[in-house]
Amino acid sequence: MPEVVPYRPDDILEVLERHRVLYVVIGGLAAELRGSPYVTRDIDVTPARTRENFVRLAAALKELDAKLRVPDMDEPLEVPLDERSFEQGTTWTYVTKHGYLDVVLLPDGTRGYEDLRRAATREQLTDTVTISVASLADVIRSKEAAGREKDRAVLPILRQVLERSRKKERDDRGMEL
Amino acid sequence: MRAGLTQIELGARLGKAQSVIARWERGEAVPSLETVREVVRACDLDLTFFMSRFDDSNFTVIDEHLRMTPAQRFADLMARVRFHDRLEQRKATHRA
Repeated sequence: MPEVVPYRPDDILEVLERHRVLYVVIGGLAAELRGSPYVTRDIDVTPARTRENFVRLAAALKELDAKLRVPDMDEPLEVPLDERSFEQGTTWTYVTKHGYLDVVLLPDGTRGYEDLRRAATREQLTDTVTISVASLADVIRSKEAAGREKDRAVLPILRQVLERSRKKERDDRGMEL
Repeated sequence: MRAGLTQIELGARLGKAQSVIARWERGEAVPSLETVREVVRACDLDLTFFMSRFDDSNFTVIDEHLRMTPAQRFADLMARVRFHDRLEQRKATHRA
């Protein structure tokens, strides 16, 4: 693993888009795109669980030179990247040539892509990247269910962001009337 | 959810339709505090409260972020990433 892992979310998302992978961005990056001031340095995505989509995802991961991160191992593992891989588990943590990428089929507290997709919105981030971003309420729901120390630490501010964004929506609607 | 119930199962325990639970989860409807208590108890959990001083010190920075579009937030993120990378490069050069 390189000494400093790069973080190029634009490049990772561009590759996923080019391979027409169906996914929702979740976790810290989704929270940032929804207005959270917390900075993250990895990307979490929940892909649609269809064989066709897994084929596309595997192709994208190959292009990204993805290797599996394993806890307590210094070096990431080279693993076969094909659609069958995703039938063997629900969470895959990769390091790619553009940074960390976690593929989470069933984020805590959710029922996966179809569940998250309902409240997600399509957001154009750059000329070549338009992605589905999970709602902040769903990000919070998942972090609450996960209950890990790092998730609990950010929950108070994420709840404040949700509260302020709902207030802003109400104010904006009031301005339109 | 933590209790491991589906929306249908929770709805059955509360005597409410699954669509009502779905609207709460999506944030489209806000249940009353009494209803929240009922939901928590239906999940075999308890709800406790404690008072603390209200802290709005984050509101300025949050509101600043909320004034931006997702694309602007992403551009801001990329600018911070590039700044961080330049800093790391400088540190590496300095160490060498």
